[in-house]
Amino acid sequence: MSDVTASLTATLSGSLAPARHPVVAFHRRLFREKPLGAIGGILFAVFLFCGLFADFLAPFGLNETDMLRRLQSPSWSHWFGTDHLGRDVLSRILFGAQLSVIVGFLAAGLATIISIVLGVVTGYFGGAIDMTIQRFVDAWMTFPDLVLLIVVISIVGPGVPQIVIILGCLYGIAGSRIIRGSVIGIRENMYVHAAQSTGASTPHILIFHILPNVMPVVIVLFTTRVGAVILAEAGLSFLGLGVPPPAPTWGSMLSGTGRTYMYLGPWLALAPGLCLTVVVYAINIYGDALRDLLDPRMRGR
Amino acid sequence: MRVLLLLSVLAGMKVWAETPQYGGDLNVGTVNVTLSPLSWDPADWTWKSNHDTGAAREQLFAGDLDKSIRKGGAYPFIADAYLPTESIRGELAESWSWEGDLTLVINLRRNALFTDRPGVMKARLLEAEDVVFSYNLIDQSPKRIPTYFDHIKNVYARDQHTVVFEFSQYNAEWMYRFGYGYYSGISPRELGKVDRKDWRNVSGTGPFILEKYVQANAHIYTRNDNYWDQETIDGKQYDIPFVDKLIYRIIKDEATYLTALRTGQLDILEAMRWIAVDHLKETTPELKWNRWLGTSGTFLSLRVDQKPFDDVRVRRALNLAVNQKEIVELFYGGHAELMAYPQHPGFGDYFEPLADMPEAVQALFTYNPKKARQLLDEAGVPEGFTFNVQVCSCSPSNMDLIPLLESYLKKVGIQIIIQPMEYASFLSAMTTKTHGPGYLLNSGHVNPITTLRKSFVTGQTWNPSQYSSDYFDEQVRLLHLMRDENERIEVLRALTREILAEAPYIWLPVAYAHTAWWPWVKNYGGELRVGAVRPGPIYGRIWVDEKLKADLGFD
Repeated sequence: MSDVTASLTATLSGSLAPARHPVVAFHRRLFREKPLGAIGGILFAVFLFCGLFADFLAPFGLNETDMLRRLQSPSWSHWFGTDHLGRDVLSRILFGAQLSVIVGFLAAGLATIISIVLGVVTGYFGGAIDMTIQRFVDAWMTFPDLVLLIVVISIVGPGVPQIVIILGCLYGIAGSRIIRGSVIGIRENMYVHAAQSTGASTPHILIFHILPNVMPVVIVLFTTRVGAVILAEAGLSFLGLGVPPPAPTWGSMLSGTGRTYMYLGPWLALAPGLCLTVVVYAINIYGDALRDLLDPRMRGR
Repeated sequence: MRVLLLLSVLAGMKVWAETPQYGGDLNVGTVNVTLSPLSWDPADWTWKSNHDTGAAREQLFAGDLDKSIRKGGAYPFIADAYLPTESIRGELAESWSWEGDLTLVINLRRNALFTDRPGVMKARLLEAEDVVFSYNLIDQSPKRIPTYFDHIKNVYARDQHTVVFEFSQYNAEWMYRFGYGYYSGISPRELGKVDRKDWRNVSGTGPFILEKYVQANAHIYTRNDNYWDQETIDGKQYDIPFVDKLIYRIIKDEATYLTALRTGQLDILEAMRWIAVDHLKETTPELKWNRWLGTSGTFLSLRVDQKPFDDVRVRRALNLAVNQKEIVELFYGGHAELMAYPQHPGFGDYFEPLADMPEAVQALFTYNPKKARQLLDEAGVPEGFTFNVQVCSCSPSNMDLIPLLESYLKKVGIQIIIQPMEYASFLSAMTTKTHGPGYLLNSGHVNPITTLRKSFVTGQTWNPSQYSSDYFDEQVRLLHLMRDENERIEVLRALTREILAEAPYIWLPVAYAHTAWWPWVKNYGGELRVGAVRPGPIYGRIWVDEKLKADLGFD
């Protein structure tokens, strides 16, 4: 086991903790040292649960209209009220969470993979490859995210696959810079040189020595990217470039019925707005807490 | 004594306040506030050309605003492209007469002046050759609508101020086709030598000059100091236009343009949905209002050239599956008419109310999902089917309505996949006939004959269902030849009944819209068009009471 891998295990296990599953130990430490982050983690878990089981949790269908109960304020039968077509807002929020989970995890996953591939390759090999790819990354990062998103979606059209691929590429390419920085530090470690001198192949070194040691960064990057992607998707939906109706997304609920009927039914804007705020905030504080606990440089601060 | 003094001061103030003033800016959110110009080139045959250039580019005929309801007349000037004959005045045509049955002679105004346009032309008077040029420009365009000018054999200048139209056959719509219609703007001959697609080259004799176009933001017009026409107010004649600048704002977002009105950024907002009205009336009681029945029909077009919509039973089933009455009462809050398309109630005797229609037509407007399922069974699609529906994201109302339609259709086993599209690509899909099997569209009523011709005659550009019937085509052709209006009305009513029963669309209710303007906008009563989507001359006659505006807190 390399030094850094050992360090990560120690971090996950807690230096003085008795032997137990490292993930459990890590979360005990999270609750103890970062209670706000832990609350964020719980909210994140609730969000995941709602998204994954929306089909079972939602009391009504996502586009189950009933014009006779339109624009009803929150009540026992409709906790978040109904919209202008008589659809249950809570159900739409839950199905919206499902879409957010799908888009958030797929796009953040894709972004992370792209970041790892680009970051590891450019950071490890350096030289012309690094120079060429990172100048492209520089150019890419000069474009404002939203403008780039709007242009591409306008060309390829809205839809879940398109949004996942575009957001994945957008955040993946930019995120490669973070992975690259870690890899540059790791490649100079003694155990990497040792592996090289014993004749280990480059793929072997990348997979078994470099990659495990950037995992803490990858985990944090992935977590924060989930929040960013959910927010970006909401922004696109707000502009009418997100997932087409009748699929509910929080962004489209805000921009469509939320604003149009905000005087007649303020809950239509409040419900998706609050959910979006809480989830993104929760993910961000959870991500921050993870970074604080996993990043060796943050230790002791 | 004090009361008398106060009354005299108030009376004096009123006289002072109502005396037209020159200057100021007029900011308008037009009926098409969400749409950018489609093209500045008249040869592109874009329906919006009059809207975008009609304040600068004039036509042979226009609506006579002296006959508006506001001035004691009979005409509201709301229709998108219908001017009853009695409401028409010559704009660039000073007078006109027929020589025989088929030769129309038009004498042009001698004082209409094309403005100086750097890079295009020096200022000069309108000539008959300009009218000939303008006609040929669109007639020879590859984008011309089929059959549109088939009734015209020849157009030529008899002398400098007289233009002659020789007809090959009479056409009941002659005044609309190249008089006040969508494609009737008169440009100078010099336009033939410059880039017509460049807004800087838009030239005309109108009350305004297009000074600037900011992409997707605004068209800015300045006053034409040499405009030929005048406006009579309280018996006194005034040179027009009154305002220094006319600005059409382009605002794509509904909440934003409503806010722009409320904050005085817009002086006039010509079209808003009913849902915004009550709140605006509460928060901004100073606004003046006009309510009008939409001048475009809303429908979900079904491509009859594709399966399963080639079967009339399927099309009727889809109509029966949609609860039209519920849409009127609950979706539109009662602010809609159940059946007001393809004919508009404002078309006088051309319009036949639903109650007078045959039972087969009335049934299409009655919710009957059971019968819908039965028809689908008979048509061989008992399990239902899935089809794509394209919708323009530019229409907040349609974007709200489409999930409701999805829900209705799902109840009879039909699934729709909604494809929102940006306006340019949405329109282009239809004009190139590459649009999907379902196409949720708002299409102008235009006028009684055109609404049938453009929407249901074979091969027409604005025929989204691709409806085609030799019998129907022939009847519409004959309709254009009829000089007797009563005869036209009879035939037209029969054709309307027939096309309604054929159900090439899911017929949907037509909603009322509301126009609002601030009280400092004077000499205005909510008129919207005096030609085919052409509001320009209306704005040329508006003056802005700057003092009242300041008194209300909007400097």
